[in-house]
Amino acid sequence: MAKLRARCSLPCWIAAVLALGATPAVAEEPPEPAITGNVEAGAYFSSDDDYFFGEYTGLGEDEWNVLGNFLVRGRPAWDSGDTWHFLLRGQNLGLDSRRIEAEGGVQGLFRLHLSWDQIPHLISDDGEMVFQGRGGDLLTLPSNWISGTTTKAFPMLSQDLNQLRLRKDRRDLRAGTDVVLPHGFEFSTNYHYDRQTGRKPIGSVIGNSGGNPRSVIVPEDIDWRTHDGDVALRYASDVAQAEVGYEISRFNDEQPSFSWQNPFSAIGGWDPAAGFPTGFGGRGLAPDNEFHQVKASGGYNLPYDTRIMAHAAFGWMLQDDSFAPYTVNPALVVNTPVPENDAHAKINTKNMGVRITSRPIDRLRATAEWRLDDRDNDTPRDVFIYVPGDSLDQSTLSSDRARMNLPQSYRQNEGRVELGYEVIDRTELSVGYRHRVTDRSWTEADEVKEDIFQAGLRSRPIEQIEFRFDGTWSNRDGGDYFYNAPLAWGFSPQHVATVDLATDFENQPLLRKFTLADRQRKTVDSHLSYMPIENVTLGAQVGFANDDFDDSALGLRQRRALTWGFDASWSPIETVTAYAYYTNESFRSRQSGRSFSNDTDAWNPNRNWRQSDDDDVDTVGAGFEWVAIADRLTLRTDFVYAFAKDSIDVETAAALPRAVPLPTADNRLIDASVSAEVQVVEHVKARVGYMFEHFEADDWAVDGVQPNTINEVLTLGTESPNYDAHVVGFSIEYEF
Amino acid sequence: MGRRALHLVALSVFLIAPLAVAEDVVKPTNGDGATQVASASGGKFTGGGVPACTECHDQPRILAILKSPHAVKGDPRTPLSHDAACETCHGAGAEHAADDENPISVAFGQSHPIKPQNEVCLSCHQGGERIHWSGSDHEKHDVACAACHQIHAPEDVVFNRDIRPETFVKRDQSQRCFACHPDVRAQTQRMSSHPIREGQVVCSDCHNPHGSTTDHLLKQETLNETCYQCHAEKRGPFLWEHQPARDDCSTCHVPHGSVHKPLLAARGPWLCQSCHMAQFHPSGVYDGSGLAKAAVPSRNLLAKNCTNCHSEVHGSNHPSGVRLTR
Repeated sequence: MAKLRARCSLPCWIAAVLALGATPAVAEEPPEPAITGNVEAGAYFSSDDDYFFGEYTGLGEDEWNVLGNFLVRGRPAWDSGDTWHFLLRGQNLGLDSRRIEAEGGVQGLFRLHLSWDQIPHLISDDGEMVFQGRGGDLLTLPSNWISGTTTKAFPMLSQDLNQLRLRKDRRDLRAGTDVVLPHGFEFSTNYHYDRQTGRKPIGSVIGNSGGNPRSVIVPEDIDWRTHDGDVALRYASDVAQAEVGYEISRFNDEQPSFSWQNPFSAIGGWDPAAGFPTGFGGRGLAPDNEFHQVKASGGYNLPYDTRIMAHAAFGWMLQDDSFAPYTVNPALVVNTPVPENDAHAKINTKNMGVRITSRPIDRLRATAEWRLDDRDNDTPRDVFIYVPGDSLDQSTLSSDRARMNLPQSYRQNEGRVELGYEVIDRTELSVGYRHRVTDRSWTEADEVKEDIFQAGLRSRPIEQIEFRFDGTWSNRDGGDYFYNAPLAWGFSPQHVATVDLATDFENQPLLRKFTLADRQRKTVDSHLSYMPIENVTLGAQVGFANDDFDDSALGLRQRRALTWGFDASWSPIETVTAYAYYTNESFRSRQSGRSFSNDTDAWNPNRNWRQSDDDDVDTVGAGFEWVAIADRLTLRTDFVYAFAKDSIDVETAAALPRAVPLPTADNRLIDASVSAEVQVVEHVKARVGYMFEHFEADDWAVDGVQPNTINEVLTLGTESPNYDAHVVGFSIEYEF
Repeated sequence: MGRRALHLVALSVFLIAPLAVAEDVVKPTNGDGATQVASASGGKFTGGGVPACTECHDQPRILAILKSPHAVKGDPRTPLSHDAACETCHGAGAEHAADDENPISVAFGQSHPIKPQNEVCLSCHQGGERIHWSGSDHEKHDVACAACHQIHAPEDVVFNRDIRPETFVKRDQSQRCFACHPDVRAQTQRMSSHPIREGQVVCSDCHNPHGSTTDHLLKQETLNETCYQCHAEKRGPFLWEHQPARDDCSTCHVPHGSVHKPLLAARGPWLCQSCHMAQFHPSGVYDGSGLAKAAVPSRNLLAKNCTNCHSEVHGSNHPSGVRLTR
């Protein structure tokens, strides 16, 4: 601090303190200060308490909420010679979605910034649960609980259900400094603390095969804390720019595990001790982890409008949480302990790249780039003889429950070149090519190559019209597909020795995982903008993407997305701005499968099925802003209508029962807002706002699914949200 | 308490210590660059400073620049600190001042020639987040800096977050982006989305519109690292990895918005069955015979479908978690 020589004297230091939250009137006023701002206070009234309406705002929890906002800016007259500045802002102070930020400093020397942000996430309030002990790491059943083998055999269920509200809250603190150093250098530091608390639903199962699971949907208590920090040193001159930095991130889960009491009686295939009342399930939650990264990037300007840029980043992801026991049920026999105390999990990351761009002549643009994304998973491999779902004794080293972890590494190399040429004035044609090679370990396809060709057209033939078109066509070659990778590598060598890899398999050999499979992809993205007269802009856009997996007999076969729409904006006079838009999105996917439970069925094509999923979404929006009376009255409005429909169709081949149709799932959103701002007297504005939101949804997956609808799963019984919400806000704003 | 105190001390050192090395900037860095660039178009300067222009251009929306970081006479890095003043960016304007039929050398906005105006901005702002601007998607598509940024304003609206319901009608950063990306605007209106509509998340939380080293202009080195900025609990590494999740979060998720909760590209069980086709339930047929009112409602179709049991889809660190049930 002793070395710091501010451009101005005492007032600048006062301003620097202001930036940290002190009041302006602490000491001598700077010459000709310009501190302006406003304070707004009022209230919101919310007519509906549907949780989903206030999903990320917190509105709807209570009828009345305080409306509080403020903004204070300080910046002296531009020609005063003083360079201090600050900004303080608070938004939504009366709600759980409040945000406060402060920044300030001495321009040319340093800047400090600080912010506090809260984001609620209201998940549901119509759930019901029988468990006790919410908020802790052990969920138990009421003392009067009577078990059964299915959810319909719980005689005390309706009596023991209690309402459950699920929400998460995120609190985010950020702070940082930027310091201007001599000779073009800058130094910055940032700190970020993120804390998430609350509960979210999670499925938790006891059982050891797809034939005997018994699951409960319970609240997972969350107490997550993330500390991030980074420092960076930057340099910039007319010719060269560079940056080096270091980043650290630490995640802590204050509740790494929880257990629950099994409400189901023991069933066939379980150890009797796994059923109520002695049966308990235990699960691990997100383990603590750390991430470190050092990075550097730079750019250098060469003659002929040529620039070379490079970057490199080296990182380490680390995780060494102590292992939970194989089972929380002491009645189950475990003879072989876990091989290590923790996973010693580590992934070394390396990201590098070089890009050269050039405009050797005015009309020609060229780009060449190489990128590397390398994630070397250094986690040790071991054999874990797992206890399946807290339901059976531990098995043996040669059983199919002796598994080996697969620390998959990933490495992608990509090179691209692109040329653009202005064939006539303001019309450019471009072509490009990319070659991408992705190597993976411990997966079905160890090397996947992709060639991507692209073409583009950008044109502005006249001032009023602008058009662009970009298209790509790519072919991905998955290479050799080792369908038995999970069986060959994911089990103990002792177990693998007991199987025949030529005939035994986990996934049907004809399946191709779509991330690794051969694929042809086409994309088109085009946009037209037309300004028929000044202050009117019309736009049209079309986007298309299609993935074909023709070589995949089973698995995803096609995925297509088509988006098109129009938009318009109009500003007939300076005081009026209006806009409107329409977008249609259509998504389609097609996949094939084969239903089988033995070797014979696995190779019977008459047991094939096909599924198609069509999602259609229409979105319409409009709005305007009108300064009805200059400096007196401003009106604003915004309207959105969005309708989405999801249709799924299943067809079956001859050896399977005819598929029963599924209903469509749809949802509709209508959101309209109006606000008026009136200058009552000098320095005082009155503001009134009204927001209406209508939401309706039908989803067959959750509607009508009561806690005991599914025999094997005790759910929370939450349903799709449906509501009409009215929010009125009124406030007085004082400007100074 | 000790831990909290340690955090506070570390935070203070981290943030305040750099101030100890800040020194007066005697010479501007790049401040003259803008003048050189703007005057490259030729012409003579008025020599009249700000008043030479504001004599005619005295509208509040023009004068608003005088309340912005670009007009600080005490900071020689800023354009208006120079004698050339407005002409630092707009180019020599003597001819325009003499006769307003003569256009100014450099005009800003998407409807004006892009290269000269962007060169002016880059003459000062080529470092930091803009190192990879050249060759980036926005640069290739001739997006003007001024298409997004408002210079003649006390605050650039592109830095704003209009958080609902504080602002019933939003005018913040996301609205700027949606002007060219209307498909993304539509996606944010879907049932399952990040809180973009509410203003809690803005585009620049994930994207660097000035250029980056990844596809889709992401801020971090990879898509997954970008997601881990807010979802660090998914980072792991885990004992039992779920390969598609480790590869790329967008294998299953659509970050701007989806009709399938939570932000999924497709709903289960079919999303999962596109990669899992083992005997018994993973390969089974799921249709209307498993609905809630059916004789046997299906646990793989209803409620959370596959994740009724296989809930650790991002990876598991439990020794019995190989099937992502623990």
